[in-house]
Amino acid sequence: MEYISYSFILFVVAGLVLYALLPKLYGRYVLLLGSLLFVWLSGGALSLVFLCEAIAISFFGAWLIEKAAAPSVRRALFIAVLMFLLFSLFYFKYQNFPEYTKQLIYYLRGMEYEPVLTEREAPLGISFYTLMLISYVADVYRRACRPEASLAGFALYGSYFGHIVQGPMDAYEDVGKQLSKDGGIRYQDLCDGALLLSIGLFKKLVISERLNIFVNSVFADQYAWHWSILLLGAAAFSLQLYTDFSGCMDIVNGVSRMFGIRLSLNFRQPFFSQSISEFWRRWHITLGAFFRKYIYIPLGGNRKGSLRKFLNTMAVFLLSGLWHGGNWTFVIGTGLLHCAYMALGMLTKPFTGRLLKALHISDKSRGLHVIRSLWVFVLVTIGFVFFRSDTVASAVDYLGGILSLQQSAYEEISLSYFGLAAADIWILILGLAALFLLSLASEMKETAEAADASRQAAKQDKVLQDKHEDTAEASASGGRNRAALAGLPGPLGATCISRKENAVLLLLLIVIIFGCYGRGYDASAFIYANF
Amino acid sequence: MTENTKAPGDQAGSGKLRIIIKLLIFAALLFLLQRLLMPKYTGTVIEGNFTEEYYRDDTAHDLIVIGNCESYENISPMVLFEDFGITSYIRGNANQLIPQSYYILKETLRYETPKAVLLNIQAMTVAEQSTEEYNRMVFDSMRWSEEKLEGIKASRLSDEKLIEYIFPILRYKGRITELSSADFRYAFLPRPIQSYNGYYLRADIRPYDPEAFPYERRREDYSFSEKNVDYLNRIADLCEENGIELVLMKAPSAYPVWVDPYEEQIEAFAEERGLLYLNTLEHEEIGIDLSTDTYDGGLHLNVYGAEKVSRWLGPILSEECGLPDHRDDEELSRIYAEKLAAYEAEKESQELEFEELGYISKYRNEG
Repeated sequence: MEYISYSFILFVVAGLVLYALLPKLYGRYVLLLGSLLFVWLSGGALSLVFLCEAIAISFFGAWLIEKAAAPSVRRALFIAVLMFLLFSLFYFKYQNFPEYTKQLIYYLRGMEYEPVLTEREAPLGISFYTLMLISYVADVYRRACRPEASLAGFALYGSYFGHIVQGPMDAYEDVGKQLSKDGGIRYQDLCDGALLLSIGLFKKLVISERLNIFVNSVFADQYAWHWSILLLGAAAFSLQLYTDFSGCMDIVNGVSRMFGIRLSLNFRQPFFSQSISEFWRRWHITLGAFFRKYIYIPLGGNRKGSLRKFLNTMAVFLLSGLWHGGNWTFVIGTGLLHCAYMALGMLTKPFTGRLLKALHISDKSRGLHVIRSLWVFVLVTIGFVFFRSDTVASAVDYLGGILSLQQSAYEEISLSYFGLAAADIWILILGLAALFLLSLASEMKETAEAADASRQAAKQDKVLQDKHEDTAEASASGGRNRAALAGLPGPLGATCISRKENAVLLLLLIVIIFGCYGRGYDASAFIYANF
Repeated sequence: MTENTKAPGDQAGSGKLRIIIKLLIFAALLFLLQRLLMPKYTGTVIEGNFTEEYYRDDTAHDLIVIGNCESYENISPMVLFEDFGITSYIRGNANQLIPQSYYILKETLRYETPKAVLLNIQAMTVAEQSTEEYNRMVFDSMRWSEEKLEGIKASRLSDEKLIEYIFPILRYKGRITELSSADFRYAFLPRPIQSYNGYYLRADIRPYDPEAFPYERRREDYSFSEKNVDYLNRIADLCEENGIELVLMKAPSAYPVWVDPYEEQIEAFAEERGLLYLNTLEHEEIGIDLSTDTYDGGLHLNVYGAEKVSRWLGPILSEECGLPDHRDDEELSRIYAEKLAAYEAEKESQELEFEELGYISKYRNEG
């Protein structure tokens, strides 16, 4: 069962009916049984066994850590649980890494090597739930949270169908407790969830799947296309990846919201970023947060000098790249390349600052913001070319084709070469324009809210001085949670319920008519579901 | 409570009403779009109309012909009536599989009980459907019934979804960019009748050309699939239960080749079930001349060939199945006279066009 399937619609509807009809106390059991059923139907018995094993080890391991008094015992137990969880991950995900490394070494020496790959079907969502379980055990070890008392409650956190396939990697303290609350359905949640779900389906089926047709054609025949087509193909893949992944997040957030659950925010208009570091605070936010919290900060963060900061950053990016898969295309495309960008950024920052001053360009200038966003898009797209390519060599060739202004091997080309019709291009242009406007509205709203929040914080500082500390803390804490959890984008959150209903129906109509699904498409496959 | 304030109950009530109205509008829009997007089969491929056209024929039929293209292109119900007074209808579709023929027959029995059923058995050699389009042409315009549901389940391809038959908009949404004036015109209006009691009239000629067909590879096993044998038995049982005479027939096509093992299996089946089996390939007296009686080099007969087959078949069916002559029936004669006039007009028009152009323009670009 995939998220984009008729059986998933049936699954959600049946779950909602049970959730609404059964006494509220049983809500968590409906979700737990539904989630285990989902894992079994989607990933098979093997996935279910590995998941249950990981959940049990984490649950009892956390309790043993909590009960142990001696720090050395706590540490030993923590390492043991960590090793167990990581062993499964490495066994299934990195068996081919040595072969890919050998291939890269041969390539760097100007030779070719065909890697001998071992095929192992990884349990469903292993990369995602492993990190979530590690974060929970680490929090218990660091005494940042108390272990969950109920095995059922914890099992639901580990197996929840809304985040097991491709995240978001919810922290236990943010989402675990929400999952264990009583059931029952509110119409407001149902409506908000349906709107999020419709937006996700629009991104995935109307935009991403259409881009996928074009991107596949370009990458499949990369040595034959004109450089401008390669450029367009690379940019299209960045947009495809974004609409695919963030679309999936909207779908799972929407479905979860229908059950009254708010998952973590995973995307915040990443292509409006002004720098690479900001990009990673807006793209796959929960993965970045995990590495920041459990790798970067424990290693010293930015507190131990510039060199140490750089090394810590490099460690985070290396691990982040590796997390995507045991292939150097991922390590370079989503890891090391970004690390290099950041290092270059740090080195050139004084010069760019002086240059802007000399040119009398304000740092707050809108034009500069646009140029920076475009520049970040270009840099990120270069990384995504590695991410999309099968080997480092073909990624280098692809980028080389653009830089060397490669000429087309075809005398004439038409849209049909890419599997698209003129109507598809119009649908893409209009769809991307609508998405851009929604993202822009979200960005403007968030900027205004951030300005309000900083004014509020300044006021609260005054109030705090007047000894009203409790109110300020509660407000700050509430504000943090609101920012961390997914909601409706832009102005849609504040829209009245009747307009939301209209938006849901309109979007569903658009998706039904213009969506790329059914025979001839592989719409059920999400790019990040492979990780 | 002031005049302008509604009680909470009223608000909840109006909220529910609002939602219901919106959902109804949404459903109506989807229905409208579905009607618009469904293929109308008014171009070169007209076979997609055949299932639906049967419901628009009000007369009863003594003979129902079922099968694939070998049934709807090789027998002319107009000639059967004109020459022998036999009322008949062909319930055939392109590449209609044996299981589909069973469910089509079963559905037919909801509307009438014929005296005889003529089943074209060439489809016994086809174990699985080759493309989705053929399934769609059989089922899309079939009325909803248990037979339709079972028929879809029995013959859909592995990647065809039942829900896409229930809501065809999910399958045909891609046509939004290729809509023609016919799609708008016939979204709700009935389409013109394209067949003559299920018969597909072609008056063009393309002589038999053995080179035109791919070399028929020898197979290790020529046994009919278990599924087809099972459904053939079901067809025989259904006819028996309803007192219908079942006749098996192999049409005179040159391709696909009807090999001896097929013939032996059908003969054995007919003997076992006590059925009449007519293999037109073995009856030279029909007078089929593949230099003039086929429109596609020997795969299907044209109207000249179909009329010859019908004239040969009529007396056999009258005699063996006891099909009465209805030419004395005023009402039926009037109805068939109208149909025959249309049939002759179309035949003449195609003949003239073929004579002038060397092809029939409306079938010029057929796939």
